[in-house]
Amino acid sequence: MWRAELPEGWRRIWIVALREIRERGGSRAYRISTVLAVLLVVAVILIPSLIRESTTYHVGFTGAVPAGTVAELEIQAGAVGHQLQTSRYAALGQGERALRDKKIDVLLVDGSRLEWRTGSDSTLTAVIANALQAVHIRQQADRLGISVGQLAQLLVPVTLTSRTIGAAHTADKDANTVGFIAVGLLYVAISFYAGFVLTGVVQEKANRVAEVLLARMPAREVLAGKVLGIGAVGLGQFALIAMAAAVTVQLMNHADAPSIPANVLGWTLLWFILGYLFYSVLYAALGATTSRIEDAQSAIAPITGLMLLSYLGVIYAEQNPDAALTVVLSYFPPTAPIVMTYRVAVHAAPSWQVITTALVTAVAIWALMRIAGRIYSGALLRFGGRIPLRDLLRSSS
Amino acid sequence: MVAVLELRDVSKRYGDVPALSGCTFQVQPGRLTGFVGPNGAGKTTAMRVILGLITQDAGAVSWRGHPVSAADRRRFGYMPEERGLYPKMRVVDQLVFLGRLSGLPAAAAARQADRWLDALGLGERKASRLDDLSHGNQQRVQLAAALVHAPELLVLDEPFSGLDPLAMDSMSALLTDIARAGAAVLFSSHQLDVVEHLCEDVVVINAGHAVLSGDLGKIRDATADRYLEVTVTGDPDRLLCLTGATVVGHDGDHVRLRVPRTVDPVGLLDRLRGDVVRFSYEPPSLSELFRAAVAGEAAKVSEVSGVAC
Repeated sequence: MWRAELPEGWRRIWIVALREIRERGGSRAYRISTVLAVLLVVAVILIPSLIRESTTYHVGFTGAVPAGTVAELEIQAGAVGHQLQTSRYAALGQGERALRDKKIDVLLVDGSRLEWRTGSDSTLTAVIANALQAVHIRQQADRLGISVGQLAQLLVPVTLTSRTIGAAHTADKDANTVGFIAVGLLYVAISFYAGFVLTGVVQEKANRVAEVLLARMPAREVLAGKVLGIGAVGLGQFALIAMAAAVTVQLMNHADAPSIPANVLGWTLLWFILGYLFYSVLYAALGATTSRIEDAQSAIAPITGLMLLSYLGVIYAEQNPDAALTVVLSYFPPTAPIVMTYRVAVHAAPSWQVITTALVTAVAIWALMRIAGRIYSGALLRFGGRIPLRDLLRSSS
Repeated sequence: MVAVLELRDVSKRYGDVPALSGCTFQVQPGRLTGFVGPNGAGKTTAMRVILGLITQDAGAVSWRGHPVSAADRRRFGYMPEERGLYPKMRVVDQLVFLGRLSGLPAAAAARQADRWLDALGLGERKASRLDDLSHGNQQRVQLAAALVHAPELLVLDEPFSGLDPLAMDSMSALLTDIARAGAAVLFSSHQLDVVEHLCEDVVVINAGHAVLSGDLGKIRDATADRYLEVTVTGDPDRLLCLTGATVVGHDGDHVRLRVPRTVDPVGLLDRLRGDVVRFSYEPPSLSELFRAAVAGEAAKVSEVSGVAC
């Protein structure tokens, strides 16, 4: 068995991680929160489009209507995911009354003028204009003796590709939306799962499990097992929610939903792992200096501040994609996970920069683990109020 | 018998507070060693040093003649004073978890967990969560957790605290069995009568160092004093002025006296002939040894401070 070949230390880390996965992943709270989160995400995606799909445009006609207009209108409305109902009115007055009585949304007069109740709807205008244009082209083609096949050839759409040169231009609204969604998810997920590590550490200290564990293994192994186990549980939940979101979007096949490029998804996942590791190790070290969860919350307040700084960094980066501060924030390990995730989503960071910042963060995590491991092991067996960090670093060095 | 565990001149300070200062004692295999001392004397700190939970500032801990290593410590079992287990986790899962961390393969850990839970009368509660058990049963699970990997040294911090008399009896019997099976057992307790009754060896610690340690019987025999307890008919007053005796207790016709070991008890009995209802002659009890040792320390401290004044 491969597990038997693991070095002793890794074997113990694996056992601690496995306990976290079993106890947390198997808990009712975890199952309920997963189901709720999945439902919430699916609902957030589904509900707006359900509401939108139920909208049916009511179009009234009066006067002359070119042949084929109604059929073409239905095609055009269908293309943007809407339904269409039409009514014919013998006189302009009747049509306008129907408009005023909200029986119809718009009245098409003589196939050339639109009358609205209070204001125009840009989507409906475009649907009607496209339909009329199509009918017109067909009529003209017919008159000029162009066959259906020739017409189709004439109307072959040109292929238009686009490419961004240079690093930072965030004109793309969809990319910006994706960026903010990714950053928001990351922020919540990192705080949530690193918070698990914090409470776990404080509880183990309070009920003296830490003592029993440390009599069996070094503190850094307990720390690693805990962080990895909870990380796996978190990543599992995160992946499940992301999968539910992807499947929902796929099933709806909705044109309006912003598509999420695979590389953005991949980097977001990687930055989640890096950000989670960075913050959970910090939380664990600071959590170990307290014996009560209330004290732990205030112990981590400066770290929560760093998270907030990351978010502010994103807002700054949105406005100043090329500024030196934006680049600095994407290299600074506490802010890198969130700021870089945004910059990747809006295509504002060249690949080499993403890779180097990830490496810098990974090195920072490694260094942090050494320092935090020291604080953690020094603090776990000291009870009472909060222990000053300076004491711990000095006493264990 | 050769000691398996030895602490030599171990010192540890927390900031400016000394917790251990030059603590030296030994623990023998196959025997129960009672670890007693007033609150704050350094018992828990000494146990933590033995288990490697904290590192001493000075001195050495050795196991079977060499400096104790992490691998040696994996053969130690430890039961802290309170809790030390996950409240929401199933009892059997905790034992398997801790057994595996101590190096047992999964299947062996499961077997040992079952075995100990059955042996401790918790077979029915294997699947229960810890916080659904009574205090006494939680204590037994803790003990099982310390025993699951068949340790060569068992260190228990106050294993008897909070137990009812029946639970104390079963805990005593169990610890005795474990020692008979060859393990070295060191446990702390404030219940000196329990320690006296149960242990072959004792360590009395005060102000961070061991003031008495070794075979309890030998320590008692080696003391300079003996205790006489006499119940007489008639006037007990003549008991109060026996030459060389100090009255340490007087209750009606019952008197407890301290005499030098050199005084012949038979001669004393002769002088009281006819009136004696009960008579006992014995070395000091553990609690008397304890009080003398700890008070002696206090006296030394006051002497020192007297000189300083």
